[in-house]
Amino acid sequence: MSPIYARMSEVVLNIDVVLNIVKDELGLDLVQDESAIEGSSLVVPSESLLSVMEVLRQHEKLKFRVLMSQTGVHRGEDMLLFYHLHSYEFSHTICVLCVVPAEGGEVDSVSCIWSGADWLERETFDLLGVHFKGHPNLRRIMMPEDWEGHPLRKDYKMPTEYAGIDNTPCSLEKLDD
Amino acid sequence: MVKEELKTEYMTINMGPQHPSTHGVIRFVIKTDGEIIHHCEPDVGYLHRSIEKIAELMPWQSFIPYTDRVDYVAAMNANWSYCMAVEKLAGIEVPERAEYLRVIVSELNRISSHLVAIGAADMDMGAYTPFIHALRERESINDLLELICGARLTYNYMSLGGVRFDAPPLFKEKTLAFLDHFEPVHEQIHRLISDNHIFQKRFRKVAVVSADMAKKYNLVGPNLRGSGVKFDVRKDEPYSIYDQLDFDVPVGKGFEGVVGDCYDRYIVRAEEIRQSVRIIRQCFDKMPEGDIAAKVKRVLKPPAGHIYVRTETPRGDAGYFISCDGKTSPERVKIRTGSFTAMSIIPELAKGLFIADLVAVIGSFDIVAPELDR
Repeated sequence: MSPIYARMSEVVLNIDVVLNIVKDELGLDLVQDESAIEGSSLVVPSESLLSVMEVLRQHEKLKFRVLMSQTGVHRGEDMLLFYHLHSYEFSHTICVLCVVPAEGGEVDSVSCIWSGADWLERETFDLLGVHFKGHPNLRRIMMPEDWEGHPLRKDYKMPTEYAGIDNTPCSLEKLDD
Repeated sequence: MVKEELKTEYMTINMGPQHPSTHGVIRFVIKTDGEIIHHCEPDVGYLHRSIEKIAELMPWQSFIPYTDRVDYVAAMNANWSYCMAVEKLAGIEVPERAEYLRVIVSELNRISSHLVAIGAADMDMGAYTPFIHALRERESINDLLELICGARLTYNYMSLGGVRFDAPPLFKEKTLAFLDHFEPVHEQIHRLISDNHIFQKRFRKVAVVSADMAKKYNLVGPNLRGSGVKFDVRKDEPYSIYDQLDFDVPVGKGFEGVVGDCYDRYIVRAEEIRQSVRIIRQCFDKMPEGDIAAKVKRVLKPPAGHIYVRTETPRGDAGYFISCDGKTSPERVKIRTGSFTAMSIIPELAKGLFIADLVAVIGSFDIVAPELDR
């Protein structure tokens, strides 16, 4: 690690504090996510995501008032959903990881907690095909309304044609003709 | 005589995608009540080039030119965000001279980006002259950046572990000469616009975003600071060498109206240009000699894991989320940009505004369509 970058981790939050707060408030035993290279990260089961997020936002020692980013990663049978939260009051950040099945995966929408989640979840739905329960307006955002499939899934097949436009990959034999 | 019954109804108007003041290819479907907007639905995605999908198909180094295209008004800053994320992931150490060069080019790019933002906002309000002045100064910055990397818009200047080229002879002298020339000109442009009565009338007290609302929607950068929240990634979570530099973070104070109106966001940008000039001068004073890039393996295989890195670009902090499964290309790259969140606030903000003020709102948020759609 560069000494210049090492200074950045001063704002890192102690993960045990968060785990204890969630245990006190909800009685849930959460685990730390070890795959985060930097900063603290915790794994939340999908059924208790909404209540944990509510605690993270409201608790006076945490005050995560901002959802910086929401995204997903398709890995084999699983869909990994990442939520990055930030607090301006304490200047700390946390990553929340929630794993749902890749096929027919469903999770509660957090757009009732952070309004900014509306568009972020729409993008995750559009590109990865995760269904967010209780989302007010779950429509495609980047792709056209009539697009088939979700392009950022690993099992996505590139269409050969869209609206009469040929999209077959260009091969050398084709160029010679 | 039968009297026809008069009735009133909402009228749906289409704005864009080809519209001069939407700053790119964005479409709005507006439901109006006379001249008042009742509901405004942005329709984005016209510039979606699936950059995140492309990232999964290529080696780590090869993705850098694509980050230029994420935000081509400030390509240096977009380069930097991605490079920094991968460097942290792979544990690459950047030489100090490279950090200084990175700050210099990024701040030059920030000035040119803010000049476009300010100029375009004026042009949307009907003032054409300031736009020409702003773009003339931007040309000089493009010349300077061309001198250092050979490109004028999409630079591909940064590499993993440093920068591609050292500053050529006379780069320092030419940049300092430009700054000496630019500072009075900036004052002039500032005076020309900021104190203009018509411009103030169009921007003052329009589309007020409170600090709470800004946080709820995760506004970032100058848009957030315009609402009075003093947060700058360069200052609050300093990366690179920013903690050794002396600069201020301007915030909206309700300069001519209410905190968080269009005018505040505009003034924050104008002030940030001054701070960038200060930063560049300090960098030239302090810049050490030495290497400009660390040695990085040609076939890079960072350890498996995920990381979310934020850097301050002209349109607020750009978050690069990278997930790595230990292979030669990223498993997933997610780019969360400032324009995206600024756009998502518009449906709530536009309600009750005049149609003409919607143009002012887009201009004051400095929305750049390619960054929005990626």
